[in-house]
Amino acid sequence: MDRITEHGLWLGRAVSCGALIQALFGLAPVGHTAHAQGIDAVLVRVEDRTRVGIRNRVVLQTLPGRVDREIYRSQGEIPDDLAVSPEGLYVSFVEFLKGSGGDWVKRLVILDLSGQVVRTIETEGNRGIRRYVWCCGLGMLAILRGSGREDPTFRPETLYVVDARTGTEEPLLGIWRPYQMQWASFDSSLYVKAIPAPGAQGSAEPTFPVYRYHIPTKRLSLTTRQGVFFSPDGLYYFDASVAEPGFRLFSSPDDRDITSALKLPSHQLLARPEGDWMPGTGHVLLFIERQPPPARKGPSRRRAPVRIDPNAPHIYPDRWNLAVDAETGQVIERFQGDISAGWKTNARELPVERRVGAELVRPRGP
Amino acid sequence: MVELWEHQTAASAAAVSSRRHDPIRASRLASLLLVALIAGVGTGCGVISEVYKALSCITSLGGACGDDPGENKPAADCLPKGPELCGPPWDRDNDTISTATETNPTNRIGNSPISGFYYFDTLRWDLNRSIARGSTTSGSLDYGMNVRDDSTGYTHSIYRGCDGVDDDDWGTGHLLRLIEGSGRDWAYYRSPLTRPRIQTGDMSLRTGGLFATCGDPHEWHRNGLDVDVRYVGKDGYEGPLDICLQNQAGQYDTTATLRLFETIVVLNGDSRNGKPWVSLILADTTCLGFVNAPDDPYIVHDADHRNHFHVRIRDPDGPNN
Repeated sequence: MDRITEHGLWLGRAVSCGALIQALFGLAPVGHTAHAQGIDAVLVRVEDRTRVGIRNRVVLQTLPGRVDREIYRSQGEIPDDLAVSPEGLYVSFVEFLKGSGGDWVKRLVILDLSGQVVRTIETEGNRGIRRYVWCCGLGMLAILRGSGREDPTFRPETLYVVDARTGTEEPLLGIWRPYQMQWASFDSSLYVKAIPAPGAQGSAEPTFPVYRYHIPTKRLSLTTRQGVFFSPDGLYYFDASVAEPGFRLFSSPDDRDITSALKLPSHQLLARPEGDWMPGTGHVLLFIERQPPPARKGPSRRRAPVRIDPNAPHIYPDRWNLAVDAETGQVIERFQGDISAGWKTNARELPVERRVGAELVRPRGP
Repeated sequence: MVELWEHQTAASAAAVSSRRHDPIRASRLASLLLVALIAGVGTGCGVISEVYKALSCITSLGGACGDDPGENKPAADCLPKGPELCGPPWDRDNDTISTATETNPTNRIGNSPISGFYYFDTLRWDLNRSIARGSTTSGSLDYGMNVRDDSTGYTHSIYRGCDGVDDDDWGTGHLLRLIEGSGRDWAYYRSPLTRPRIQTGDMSLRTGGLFATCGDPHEWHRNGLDVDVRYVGKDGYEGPLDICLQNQAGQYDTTATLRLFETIVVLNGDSRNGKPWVSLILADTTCLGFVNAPDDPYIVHDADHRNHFHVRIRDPDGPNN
């Protein structure tokens, strides 16, 4: 696709080029029309998302209007991105606060869209909040707690389903060391990937069990799945580790590995799809486009990294992204903007950072 | 049995080597050494014994390194001769397995409580038999080596998490070479007052495979090719450091960390002279403070690498075995 030649034009006409790119790529700005269940669509993020200054504020941008409004200021820091509940009523993030002994204390903070703190969820004994996901119904979250890799004492992880409105915590028992979880709304189920039982330690081909917790029946069952990140329509899912790159794509009906069917170069598959599944579509994966590494001609001198300006923002509005149809493996869209700039929304579109600011886009579907 | 095989192989390699390059000199030296040895041992003269050892070393290692028939040792696996009689000070027998590793009891067959896979001899060639099996996410480690917990320029003992001593620090010979070589170069560069040691964390388990002890499981770290390393703190600080927390970022030494990357990749990870090839480093580049040189993009962004970076080397014995 030679549309990249438009890149320079877009750079040169920053004000109007967002619209031009949208026209070229079929990326209609839909934010102001996209509401979730009658709630105004909003964009939220942690400032400073550019990572130049301290990240301690949550700002909200209402569409249309596009005026940043600070809804929360932390006494500590919010190093990670935040999340918006599926129904669009709540915002959540992990906050790091300085403890009395000078150590860091992590807690999960849940706000409503006005910035009122609905609930804070603390660590459980010596188990810190490792990850969480909105799931299971209005105001409900699944929270995984556990000790860290540097903790000198091993404590098996715990998984709770928490009602943010009442604070009720219901343990999800019967899973040895839960590791990843994801809400599958098409199935009204929480899927949980677990670490293999202790006997598998050192095994070359260990199987990570995947459980399904069906919310209507509250039934937990072991599945044959190999990952938990389901497409919105449930026809496909992918598996990816937490700390290492790479991923595998599976078809749901037969749990078959179809990663090789993706028409992407191998260097592109080194990373997981940074944009996960495209919201508002059935099964479209979103990748940040990567340049192939230069060819290596025998032993050669390695290059040292290069210092960068510490005040340069880590925002990449000119970056290109790939939308890939999981069914055909084809790249169906190539569009510009930073999909990992920290924006989250309650609309069923994809927030991207462009030179004209944050926009909600929906690539053409398959 | 393994010991016998190792020594026979090394001895035959030495013999082949000396015959090919200078048989006359070798035989004369052998005669001389025999006389000296008898005299030295007979008189209890330690100096003579040392001379014998050194001359023996010259005799057996004077030839090309590792490319003689029957050695079962790739030429690229050898380092050039060092300034001393045989190998560099850290590897007297010049077999690319450091003396520190060879004398590490954990690497010895039959050691207790953890036994290794070798009978190393610090004055003979020992074969690096370590093999990375499988792939990044499904693999194991054959004949791995255990790195010393603390040696020149690096420490592992303060970055073990919940793992037991010598449970989590096994790797291929090339990975150990990377750690030890980087440690030596880092020690040369650093000032003890202002630069901490290299803090190495998880490598692989003794025989590789799934590594899921503390915290999140490693989906890599399965075949002796991976090592986690902490970022460098200021003022000699050694301990946990999250480079994306602003309050801790003040403790983060960007310049020294860049220098550490350089030490690991440029000085010790370029595949020349038997060194490994560093294929990638996973780090959170939003907080790192430096980026790849355009023509050598080994740093890969990963948001879960804020309190350490992950170094991976290319499989030295080739993939898919």
